[in-house]
Amino acid sequence: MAANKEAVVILLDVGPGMNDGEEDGPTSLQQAKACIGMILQRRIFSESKDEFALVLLGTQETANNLADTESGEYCHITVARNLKQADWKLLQFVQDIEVSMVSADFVDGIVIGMDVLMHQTQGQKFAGQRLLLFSNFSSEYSPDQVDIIISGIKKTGMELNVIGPTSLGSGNKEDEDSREDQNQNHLHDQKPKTTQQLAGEALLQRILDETNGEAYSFSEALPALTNYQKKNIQSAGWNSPLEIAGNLRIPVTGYIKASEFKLKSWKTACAQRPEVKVLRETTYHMNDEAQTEVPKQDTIPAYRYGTTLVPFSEEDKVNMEYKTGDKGLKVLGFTKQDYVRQHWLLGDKTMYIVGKKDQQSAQVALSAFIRALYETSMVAIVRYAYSARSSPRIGFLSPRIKPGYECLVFIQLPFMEDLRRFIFAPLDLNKKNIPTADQLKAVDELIDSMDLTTANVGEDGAREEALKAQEVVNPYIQRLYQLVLAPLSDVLGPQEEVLQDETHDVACTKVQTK
Amino acid sequence: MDGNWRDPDEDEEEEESEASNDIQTGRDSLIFLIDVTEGMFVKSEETGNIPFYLSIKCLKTTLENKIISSEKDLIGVIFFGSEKDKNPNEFKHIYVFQDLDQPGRERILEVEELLDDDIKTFKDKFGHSNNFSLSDALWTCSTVFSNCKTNLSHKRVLLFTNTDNPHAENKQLQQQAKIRAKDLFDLGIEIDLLHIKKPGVSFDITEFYQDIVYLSEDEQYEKVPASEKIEELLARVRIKDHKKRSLGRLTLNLGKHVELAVNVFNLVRAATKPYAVKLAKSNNAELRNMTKTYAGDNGEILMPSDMKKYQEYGGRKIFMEIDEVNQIKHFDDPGLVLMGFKPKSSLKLHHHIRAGQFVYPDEKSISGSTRLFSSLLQRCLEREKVIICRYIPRKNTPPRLVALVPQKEEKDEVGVQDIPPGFQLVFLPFSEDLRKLNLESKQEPSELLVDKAKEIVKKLKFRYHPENFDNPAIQKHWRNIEALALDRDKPDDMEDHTMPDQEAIENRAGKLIEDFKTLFPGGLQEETSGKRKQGASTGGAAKRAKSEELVNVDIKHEAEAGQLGRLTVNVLKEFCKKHGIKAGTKKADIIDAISNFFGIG
Repeated sequence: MAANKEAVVILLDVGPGMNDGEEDGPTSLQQAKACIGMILQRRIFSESKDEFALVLLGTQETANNLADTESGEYCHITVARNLKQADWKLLQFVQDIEVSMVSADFVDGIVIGMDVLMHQTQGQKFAGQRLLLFSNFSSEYSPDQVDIIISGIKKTGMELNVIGPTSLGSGNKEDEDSREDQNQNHLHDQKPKTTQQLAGEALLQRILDETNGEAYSFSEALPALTNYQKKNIQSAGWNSPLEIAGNLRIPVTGYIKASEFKLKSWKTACAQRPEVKVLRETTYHMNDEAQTEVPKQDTIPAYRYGTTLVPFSEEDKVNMEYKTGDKGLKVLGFTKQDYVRQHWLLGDKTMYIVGKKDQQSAQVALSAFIRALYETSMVAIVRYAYSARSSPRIGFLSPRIKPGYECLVFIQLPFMEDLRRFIFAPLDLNKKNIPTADQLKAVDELIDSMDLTTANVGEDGAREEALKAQEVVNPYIQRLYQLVLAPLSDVLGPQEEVLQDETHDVACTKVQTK
Repeated sequence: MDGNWRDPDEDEEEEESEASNDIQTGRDSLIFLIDVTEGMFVKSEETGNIPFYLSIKCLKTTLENKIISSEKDLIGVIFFGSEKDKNPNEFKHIYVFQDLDQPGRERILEVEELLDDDIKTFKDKFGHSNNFSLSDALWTCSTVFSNCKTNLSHKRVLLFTNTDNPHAENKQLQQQAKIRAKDLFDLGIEIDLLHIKKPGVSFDITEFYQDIVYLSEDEQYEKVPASEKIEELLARVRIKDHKKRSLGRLTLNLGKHVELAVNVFNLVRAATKPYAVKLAKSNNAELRNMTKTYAGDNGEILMPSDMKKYQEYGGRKIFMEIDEVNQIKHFDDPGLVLMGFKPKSSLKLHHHIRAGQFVYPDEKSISGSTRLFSSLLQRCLEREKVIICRYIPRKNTPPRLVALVPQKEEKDEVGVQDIPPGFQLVFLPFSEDLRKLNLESKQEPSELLVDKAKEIVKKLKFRYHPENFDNPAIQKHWRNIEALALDRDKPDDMEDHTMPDQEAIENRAGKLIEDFKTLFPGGLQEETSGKRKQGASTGGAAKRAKSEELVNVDIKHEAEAGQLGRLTVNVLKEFCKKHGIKAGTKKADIIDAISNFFGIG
């Protein structure tokens, strides 16, 4: 769905103040670049449709729609790139940015950002519009337009996020009438903030408060961005009826909860000429001396019945094959949870089934069954037809009730044909294989010493479970992404040359950040 | 496939294929060795079954199942205790009814004819005699196996009889048969007994047959009682008619050089419809397919060494040699490595991403494996723990985390193993595999409603077992093929077990369901389609109005920047309408038309 993408304007302060930083630590600009780099990488790997524009605050030059050289308004602000999906060029460009000698008004920057969003999203569908401001607020600003900004953000539904050396609200500014939490972040070993910075932060805090925006520090933002983000899979709902006895039909929606994330398949190219596509063609041949080719239209499909070949035309298929009928879930009956054995679970996904959105009665009816099953430790055995054209499967619906939501969990079960019955001898058939008491004790010690439930030490020193699925990333995917990243600078070459070939990115080439 | 190499894109799929992992190259083979003495033709007063026909029904079902599941397997049929004889060694009273071969149309028809014949016709054709020698019968099996031209990897004899003590009067013949059975086992032929119960008499396996049955160690099993029902017999045949094949032999490393050997099995895997082959319309001859891989620009045929693999991200292609692709996937040698233990309760049902596997010790590779495995199993069962492992099933397969869940042996009513002892291997998701869902669906249904639902649930309760559900799409497909192959008028009827039994449900819970529905006076259905249509049309009008406003976008600028694709079709169409540009309905066509309008290439 096109409407799932977001439009993001990155506002990056490159003024001289961004050279500040913790002692011996990275400068604010370096930290900001690292964050932006991570954000872009994640979008590239997740093949997100989100579009990004880049606005630099504090450039020698000025390149934006609102600049008025006479009054000096909106000067030293450059729209370095218009809204477009994240790519390597933008990533490289950001990495090559350096601190400039001039500073710009970050309030002006926000206005430019809003202008970019307003004009460049026209005629397109975006699910959201966002401004990401990276600054440490060391430069001068004029607060004149703040009210207009606030009402503008509110009116357009944009969101403003601010990322800086510390969360907003740190530092000592009792005299401000902002609502920030006074207690946080006093511990940070930061250079004391200037009055300028404090005032700037206070101003932004007011904007954020009024527009429900959020602020993060670099140290909060970076860890969250470090692992390459999972591919942005929009779980499109599967709408269908849940049928009990044909005439009790509850409209429900299924969402995939768990399914193996597969890397994009490897494509093939000519080794000598990588830009050339590799094509494949299948031909059919007689089993004679000349291997006579038979055109596809002169062939007929057939199936083996043991050694016998049985022609089965497309027409036979249409007339004789099984017809699935309507899509949806049909309850065949209910059974004890214990009768559904874990080792039978089949299929490649787990789906959550909820009552259809905005349909109160459907949700209530489903809820009644969720609770009935939950309280009786039962599950429903269902026929699952994804569509009228796909073969039906058997599965079960198991109740799940959490504080925020309730649903039925759908997992596929096998057919008789899917089971393989093998016999395995009991392990104690041969008496020499029966473990001794000492051996069992040794295993017990092993279990105790390798207990994963307390293997991690959390930030507060408490013992935590290790290897939780939510926290373990797929090493293969991480490895591949790193490989893709590794040759970044080699592949791209000098930045100007690269950027010139993009007409709409002409602005980029003009930027002199030094 | 002859003449073509592997599809270059196929290698990406990590799906386990047993064939690729199976080192053994030969075929499974199975001989039905059936007792045809007169005792096998006595009808049971109780069940109405005739033991010989029970055996033949098993044979027919096995032939049909083999055609569906493993058509390459070979099956032979040998009678012993017939009057006539036909066998390569010219033994008396041994009749090779079907030599070892793949099942097919003719064989099924032959077996059907046997079933249609009455007892007298069988007697006329083959006759009965008690003067046979079981030793000769076994030797005939061995000869049939060794005369087979195909390379056989697994050889098994299924012996059908209802006499627990043949040659009771002749100890010498019994002794010969026992020695012969051992000879066969030494030649790699397993012998298994399908004993059929005589009414009122128990089949005492210790009388004689316990010295005839030879099975490999990991399949030895305490004896099940004789069957008299076709279902029981069929269930036993189904377990025994194929070789137990493992996905692979691996080590389970517990750390500090403590290793045990295990075999991994697939005990559940979705069966699929077979692939079609192509025949020439002119003469119904089977065709070979050949795949050519060629360069898109000059049509030059490419060999695997002429190609490279790539991944593309953010418009950048990363090229790699095929070897390098494998290197990226290579993390370590295949095997299971212990990461630690967790309580069984830490496993989440809603983390299911892949069908599980089964792990059983392999004493042959590392002796002592069974005992260590057994210790782990016992303690994990007792303490309700699972073993978390890193699992690399094959070379160049990236690792996954798995939980080994201890499983106790369970048997069904007749004593046949239902669940084997060992560890289930459950695949755990990585964080990439789990999706965040923002479900805000929580209701507070009235107690009345929940109680009604409970009553419905109670009324429609049954005992689930997957054996009771067959796959209607696959069954229908094979019935069609079978009907065509065997020249039947129409395919066998099929009961679709995936469809709810509407009538039974209505009878048992119809009233309750009506009651439940009356608690929703507004109904549960989605809005009627009429309503929706209306909604859609007004939406459309609104959209049009909106897009008209938006045409103010500088289309020319976007066109010059090659950015027209970013705009919605509505906007583009509106622009065409305004400027009288004729364009198709596809977005690409409209973009082309607008580009032409501005004279952009």
